[in-house]
Amino acid sequence: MEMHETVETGAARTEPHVSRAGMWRGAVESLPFQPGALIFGLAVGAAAGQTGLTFAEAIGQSAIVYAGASQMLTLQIWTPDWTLGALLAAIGVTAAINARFLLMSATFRPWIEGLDRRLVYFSLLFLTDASFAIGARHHAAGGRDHGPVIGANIPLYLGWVATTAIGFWAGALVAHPERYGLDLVLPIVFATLTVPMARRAKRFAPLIIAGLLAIIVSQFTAGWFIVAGALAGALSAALIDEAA
Amino acid sequence: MSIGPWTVIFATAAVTILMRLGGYWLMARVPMTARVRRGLEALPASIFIATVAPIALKAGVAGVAAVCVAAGVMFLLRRELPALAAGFATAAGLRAMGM
Repeated sequence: MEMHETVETGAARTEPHVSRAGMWRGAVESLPFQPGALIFGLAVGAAAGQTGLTFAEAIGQSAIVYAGASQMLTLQIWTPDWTLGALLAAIGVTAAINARFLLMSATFRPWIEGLDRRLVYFSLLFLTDASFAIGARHHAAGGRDHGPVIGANIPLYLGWVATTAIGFWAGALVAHPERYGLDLVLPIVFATLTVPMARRAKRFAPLIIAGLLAIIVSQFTAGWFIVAGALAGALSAALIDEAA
Repeated sequence: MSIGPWTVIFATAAVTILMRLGGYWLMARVPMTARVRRGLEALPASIFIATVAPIALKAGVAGVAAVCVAAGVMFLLRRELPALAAGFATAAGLRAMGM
């Protein structure tokens, strides 16, 4: 509706752009996300150390994959003797859990269409739940500045790699993580993130199907239950027709 | 070709990059039918639930209770920090009691 608004007022820019002020604002707005990311980064670093990764591998995983939930899940199926099947399971789990990035980056298209393509793709390399939330908030308010997303990406990325390193060394100090419930970090974080999503869901049947199928499949294989459950949920949502 | 840790790291990174860039790329090319949209909308929550349910169940009483408490507090307060704190406290408490 505002697409054809002319820029004659000169007050607000209606074409997508990147501003330094926006970047700064994004960096500041990433601060509330930092405590959660910090705990999660420590947990991933500790899990990597306990799983038997070298320090370089732990840092490498955080710096190159840069997606905590999928890193944690890959660590759950980590093995000293990788087979092709185990590798495919790791790839499948990673694809399933990070498929949300596909949706988030799809969401950005109408907001920043027209920006320099290289800049857009470079910024999307660092896309996280937090920077998506910050970007979505700005764009929902009518902003066309991509700066907040870029500005949030920088401290989030640096913090993630740094806390992985700290967790790797500190985790070695905790001999039995399960004694303190630290092995439950992932399900607790995910359960918390699920609530607002489930609240917005139009129907619950697909979510119940996803959970049940995942439980059943998990009885037989270690790696594939997430992919199976998630696809079952999405497929059933696609196939159930809108109630007339 | 032998598969080592770095193979796994680079392979999972490649998949993740495909996801991060792919949605933006696809949106210029895929017709967004009602079915596709419904499936995509249900995907994130499905992923989370398909992850949480089996892992919590496998972790026993402490796992199920911690997850339920975290979700319950989130539902009531709509704030992440108290929900996480309650979940972790439940997990640590029940584990301390030997559950």
